[in-house]
Amino acid sequence: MSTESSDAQLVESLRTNDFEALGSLFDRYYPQVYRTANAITRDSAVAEDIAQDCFLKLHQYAHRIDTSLPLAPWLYRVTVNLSYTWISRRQKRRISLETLVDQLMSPAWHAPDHVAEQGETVQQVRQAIGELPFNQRVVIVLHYLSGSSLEEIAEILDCPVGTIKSRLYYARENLRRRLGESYRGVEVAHGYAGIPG
Amino acid sequence: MQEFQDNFFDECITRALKSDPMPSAAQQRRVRESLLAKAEQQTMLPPLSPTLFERLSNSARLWGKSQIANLYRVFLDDSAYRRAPHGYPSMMRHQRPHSTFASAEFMLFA
Repeated sequence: MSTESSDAQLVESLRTNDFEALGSLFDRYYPQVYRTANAITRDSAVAEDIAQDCFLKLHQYAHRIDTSLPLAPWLYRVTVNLSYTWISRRQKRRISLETLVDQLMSPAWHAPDHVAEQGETVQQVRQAIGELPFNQRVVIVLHYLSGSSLEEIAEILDCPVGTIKSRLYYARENLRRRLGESYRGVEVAHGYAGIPG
Repeated sequence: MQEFQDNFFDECITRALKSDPMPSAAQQRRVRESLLAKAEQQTMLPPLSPTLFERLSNSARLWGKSQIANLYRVFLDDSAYRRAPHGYPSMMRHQRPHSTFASAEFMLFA
């Protein structure tokens, strides 16, 4: 399979059970799918499973995918749905304190060198994003990490653009409120706070 | 000022999200192998039957068109009113100018 093949051509090949085509699509989109799932779930192991399930669904639904449309929004939609399922199941299970502690102390998030690399602000912003309600978190992740426009996010989440705008607005307001003093401190450090409005 | 603050805030969010590590090559290879093994055992779903969908959409379209035509005929079509002042009604078209009906002549000849 040529590396020049378009997504539509690869999906067409996949319909004939061409696993090389599935591998090519995986190579092309896995990092984006994994990072999106990781940003939503805040769990690298779960993100890995979600990304794999996403490509399994791509294989399973190959005949039902509209190849005249771009593939990335379909993959993001499946990723968001799988993440939502995982989060709602986790909430139902009411995970034990030990599991929660294990998760918070997982190497992907709190390895000492990682923390040192990222700095305090990045950690605080990430934590604040993680505490947002699911709908707002998804919009933030798709907008800032995946670089999707509001119209694309509306397409992915099957919502009106106005709803996405509103969620983004409230997500940003929530983040500002959650970051509070620490954010203002960073502004001062960067010389933004002294500029008259 | 507000714009600077917003830009800075956007930058903070983007930086925080993009600071997540990319999946390593080894991890990607491992997941790829596992994916292909699982996909080989998985059955693809067949395409959705287009005939049922087409049949339903055609019926809906025809029904809609007939409803629109009926509404037009009832509320908007005034051709009958415009035709009324001119000429004779269709039932009078065989009447002769001297008021004898063509059908009466046919009866006489018969």
